[in-house]
Amino acid sequence: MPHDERDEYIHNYRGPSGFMFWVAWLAWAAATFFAFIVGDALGKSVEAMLAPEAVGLPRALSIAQAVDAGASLNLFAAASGGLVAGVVLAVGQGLVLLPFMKRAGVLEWALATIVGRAVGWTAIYVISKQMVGLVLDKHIFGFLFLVLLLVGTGLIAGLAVGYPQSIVLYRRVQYPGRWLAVNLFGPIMAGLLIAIILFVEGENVLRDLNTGFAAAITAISTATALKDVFSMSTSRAEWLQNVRWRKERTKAPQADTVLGSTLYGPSKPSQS
Amino acid sequence: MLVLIIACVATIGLYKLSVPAHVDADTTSISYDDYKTAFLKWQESEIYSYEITLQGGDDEITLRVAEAGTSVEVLQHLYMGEPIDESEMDEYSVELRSMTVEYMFDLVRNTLEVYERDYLTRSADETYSFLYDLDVRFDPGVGYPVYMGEQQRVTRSSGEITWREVSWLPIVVKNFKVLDDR
Repeated sequence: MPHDERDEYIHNYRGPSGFMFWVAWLAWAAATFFAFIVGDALGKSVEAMLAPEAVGLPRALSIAQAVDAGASLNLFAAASGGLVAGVVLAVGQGLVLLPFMKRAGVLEWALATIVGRAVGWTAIYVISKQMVGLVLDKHIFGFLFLVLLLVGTGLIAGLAVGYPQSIVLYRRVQYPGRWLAVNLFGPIMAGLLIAIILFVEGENVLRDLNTGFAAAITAISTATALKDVFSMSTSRAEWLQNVRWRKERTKAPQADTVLGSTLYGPSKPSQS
Repeated sequence: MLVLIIACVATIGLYKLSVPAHVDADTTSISYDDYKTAFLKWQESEIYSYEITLQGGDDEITLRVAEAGTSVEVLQHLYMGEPIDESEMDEYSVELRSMTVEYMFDLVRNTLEVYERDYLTRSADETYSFLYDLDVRFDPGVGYPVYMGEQQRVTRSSGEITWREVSWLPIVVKNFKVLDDR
């Protein structure tokens, strides 16, 4: 089949559109958002169990989960908390992906998500610990340095999840890099917002909403990017076999033409 | 990924080498003993009159001082490189005109005494804490202050971040000339 005809076919019959796409959009956004929130809470509980001495300590500056400002660096507890948060996110997103990807694909996705979230969580923990006691000059350069640090932290957190997930999409989607890019929006915007709040208020008055804010943006941006994922699939994408976005329309058979072409119209009945 | 994390942590670590982490106390670059040593050097040098050129912010001022700092004559006062309009001088420019070595020693001593009381200044609603960092350097030979500056650190109860602002514009002694020693 020529390339443009194949594209047209995918657009008409296999590409996402209409009601079904919006159902998938909503399911993905809700699953991602709530999995981030629930994962954050469970991850923190696990951290608190493994490092009870950190409970009750003042909080360090963080763009996502709460990080204690204590002197001790408990990487094991942080990584464990991240793994739990990753499992919750993987389950949430995996359930939405199950009808689209075969079980093996969902498992790949889950593994990438768990590893990515754990790495991102640990990175935020380590960087937040290093930022304890940070003194910045209250002028434009101090603010820009803070933006650099918080946006940089957001970039790392976004890359941590987006990169392994884009590897899973690599053979299934034509431009997997776009998935990586949309995963950066949430944590980067959270970092930027927190930098502005810190400059204006002197402390992050919305710190309890850090994860929710990043989760909401990530949920919306990745849900919207699903359209690209589904419409720019390679032939190896499972959903091309598993999913029909709408019924295929059967074209009415065309009448015979004089020279076998519709350009000449149907043949006139012969006069006898 | 690991490289990015290490780069971020290293950047913060390097920054903290130049701007030390917040502590819940006022800090000084000198001890009270350093001050006393420098003041003793100054007294022992028995300089009766001198000319001093100071830079503070956009002001540059040259004073002729005599009689242990009690006689002060303004030789030149430039603001952004131009002679200042005396009718439009602000409080800072006026204060700079009295910045003799003796006055600077008084300022440093008073500040150190305040710091030694070691109390934490808080805002009326107790949500902000104000702490100060004094930076003073003395001339190693004669002992007079060659640099004075103070910064204010403001932090809130969460301690997530500390913002630093200049509370004294740094005063730099650009030139010092002894006119008469006993």
